[in-house]
Amino acid sequence: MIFKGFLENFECIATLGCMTIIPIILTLPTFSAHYFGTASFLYAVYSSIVAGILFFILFKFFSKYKNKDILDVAEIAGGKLLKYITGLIVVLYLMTAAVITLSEFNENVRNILFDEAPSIYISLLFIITVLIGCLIGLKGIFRASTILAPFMIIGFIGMFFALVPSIDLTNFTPVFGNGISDLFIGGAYKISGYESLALLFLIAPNIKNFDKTARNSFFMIAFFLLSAFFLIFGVMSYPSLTDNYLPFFELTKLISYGRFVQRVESIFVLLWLIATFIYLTIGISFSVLILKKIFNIKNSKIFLVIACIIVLILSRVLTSYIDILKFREIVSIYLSPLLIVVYPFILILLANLKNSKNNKETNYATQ
Amino acid sequence: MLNFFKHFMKNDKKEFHIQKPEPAPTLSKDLNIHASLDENKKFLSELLHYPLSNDVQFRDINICINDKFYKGLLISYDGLVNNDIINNYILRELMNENNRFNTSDSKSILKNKSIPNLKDIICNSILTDCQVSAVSTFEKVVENILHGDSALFIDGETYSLICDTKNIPGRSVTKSEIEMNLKGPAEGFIENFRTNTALIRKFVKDENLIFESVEVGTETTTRCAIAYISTIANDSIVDEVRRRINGVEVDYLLDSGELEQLIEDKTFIIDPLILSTERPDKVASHLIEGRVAIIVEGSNNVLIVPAIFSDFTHASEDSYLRFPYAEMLRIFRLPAIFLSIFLPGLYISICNFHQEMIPTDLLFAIAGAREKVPFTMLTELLIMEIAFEIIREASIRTPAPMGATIGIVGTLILGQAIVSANIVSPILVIIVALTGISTFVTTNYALNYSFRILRFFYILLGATAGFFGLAIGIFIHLCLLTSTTSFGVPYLTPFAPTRKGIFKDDLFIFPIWKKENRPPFLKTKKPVREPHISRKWDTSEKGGNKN
Repeated sequence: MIFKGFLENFECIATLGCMTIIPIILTLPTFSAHYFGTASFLYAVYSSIVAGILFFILFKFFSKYKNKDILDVAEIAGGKLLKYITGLIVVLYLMTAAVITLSEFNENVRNILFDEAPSIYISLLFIITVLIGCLIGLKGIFRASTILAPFMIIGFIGMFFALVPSIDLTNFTPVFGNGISDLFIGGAYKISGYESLALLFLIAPNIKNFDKTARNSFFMIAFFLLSAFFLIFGVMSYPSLTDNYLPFFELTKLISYGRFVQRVESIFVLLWLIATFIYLTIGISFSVLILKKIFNIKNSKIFLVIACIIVLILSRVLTSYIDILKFREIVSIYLSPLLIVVYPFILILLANLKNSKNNKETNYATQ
Repeated sequence: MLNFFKHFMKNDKKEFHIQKPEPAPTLSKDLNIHASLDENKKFLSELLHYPLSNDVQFRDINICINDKFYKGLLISYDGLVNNDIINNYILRELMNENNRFNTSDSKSILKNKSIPNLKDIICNSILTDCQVSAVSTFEKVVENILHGDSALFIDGETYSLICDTKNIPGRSVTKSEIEMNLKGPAEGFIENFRTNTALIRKFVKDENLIFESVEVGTETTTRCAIAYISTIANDSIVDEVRRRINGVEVDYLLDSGELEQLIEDKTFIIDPLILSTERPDKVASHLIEGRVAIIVEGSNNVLIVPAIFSDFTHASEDSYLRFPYAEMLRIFRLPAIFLSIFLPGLYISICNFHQEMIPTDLLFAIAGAREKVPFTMLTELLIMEIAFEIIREASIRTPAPMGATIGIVGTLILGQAIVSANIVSPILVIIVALTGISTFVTTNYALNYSFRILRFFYILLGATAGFFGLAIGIFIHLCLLTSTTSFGVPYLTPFAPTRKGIFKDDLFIFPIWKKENRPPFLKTKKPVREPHISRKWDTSEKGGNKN
């Protein structure tokens, strides 16, 4: 167990749902428009099917190790050394994701709200809040997500009904966008929309009903992803999306209910900001807790402070928004499928092989 | 004249300085009572500071039994005791020369009762009009007389007889003044311990309702009672309450508010974690649910644990009113809670950072109203909020007849003048007034305080960073609340962690016949309150009486 305490089914689903919002509102639609053009919604459907199949297989294999997290599985597969390596890889990935998200959100918040404020102030506000969240503890964060998730869903539904009249079905044509091969071959590994599902490998021992949670979480993420893509690509034409830094934010500007409720995008920003705090807090907390587990650290609070400072400093290094996007593309599109699907798959296979070998040896010994 | 100047210029006035105190001589109370009455009297005079302390009564008496006189001493605190009982039923009976008991006669009642000694004769045959018990240490003697009892010492005996003569001054049971209701019982707790337990017993007529005694305080032993229904309440919660109260080591405990602070889970959290009420019916309904109540002697508030957030937002009236009316109240209470915390913060955020959200006509109205106001919006808002808090505090502290005057001066005259003087804009007055009124919708005053503090935080955050600031506040506040527990129960249950029944009795209210189960988070011994079909007469309900 990376952290103590049990998590309810809904707590996990809500947290994963909140974490999924981040790539959707930040860069995923822009990347999709860039890669798949008008077929972006079809890509969302296709990637959901691919991710569904991959994670179904992965979770099936992992179900043997429900009471263990991925570090324990790595230890079974390759001893302490592989556990250390896996731990460090996961920490690196989480910290990188936190750094990129902080830089990205920092820039976006500055553009949306404080165009004249120095960005260091915004970064500082972000990181102090996240540090407080980390110090309060993961259990509180998971539970906070359960309060936030219904508002997210209500926001999505409200948005959906407000924007459905603006959907232009011709935006989905040509159906296959840049071509069938680009969509079905190129899109097969671009499943970064589901990267938050990999968190289940870290919290598996804390979950009461792993299978149910995994299944429901997948459907929750699919709901967010598909409805978001349907709206974005239905309302906005794809060329405008390739240039747009925050397409989802632009979309919310179009929401209006009568004359009085107009320009309510700031309310969505409020919800997304809270979701970002949750995302960053979970990323940084897990990084430290993994280090705590693999190196048997007793007092991790000081490491939380250090991790926050590191994330802040690194996020200040990424000053250009173009660099941030490039970095995000490398991590989300190319690295994340390897880390969230391929690597755990290898670990589970190795652990299974080792287990069966051990079983055989014990059988021989008993015979 | 010269003398006057001399006297004036003379600088020989001695100023008073507090001296370093000498350690007070402490007598150990934990001693057994001597057989010699004189020694007992000497020791108690010293212990009770007699005659320096003028309310201590030492009364030497001669107890007459079977024409034999025994020297006795009756000690009590004047004012705490009923002098009628002492004079008519204790002193007169003890000193009565006709006290004759034939213990040798085989037909004697006393013989049949086989009374062997003086103590039993006094307890069972002389002092028959009050409760009498014997104690053997001075500590117990002092403890009892401080609670209004009288202690009787007899020469040659190593015990003291404690006579129940309590008549502690206090008010009679009156209407609850803080938690007002339109419907339902109106009476509230008072400062008398036994009256409070009786008020609860009046509602919960169950022999399994236990008032377990505990004492807190090393200097004043304040009596407390842990109340629970033994067949319903979870033992581990009762044990935890007992453990926490027994673990309190303070010299004095004057009110339940002090005990609340001593046993709550987290001190530095703004929201209240223990429910404090002055309504016996509320305590009764919580006891029936499986919670534990703590009654403190001298306090007119009873503590209820564990408490969750939604408990503070509910009124006792909710279950007395018909379902549609109660539902309406609950529904209106939710936006009121939201407004009381967030409205000023939202207003300042929107006006300073997110003006695009305001419809153009309203934006012009706000801008026009603020045109002549010389202050920033934050200053304007803080002036109003602080003024509102001062008026509220003043109206609470002022004597009742003047309260209305304060209200009129504070709200009408000051409000009108402050707008006319262009110190604040009229829209801001509306915002602050709406926020203030919304605060009063919350039934619990402790929650009311927390909202008032939180509001200032959100104003500052909103003024600093708009919705970004509000998001920071909401995130930290949510994380704090979700990670908090009250006696082992997550504070935001059943919202986080999510439990069944959110819509039944927490967010909304269901008809009374639908409240079949006790709150699951309490893990009670009887999780089911009533059968699935509680209205057996209703033939339309599934499984109901079809005849």
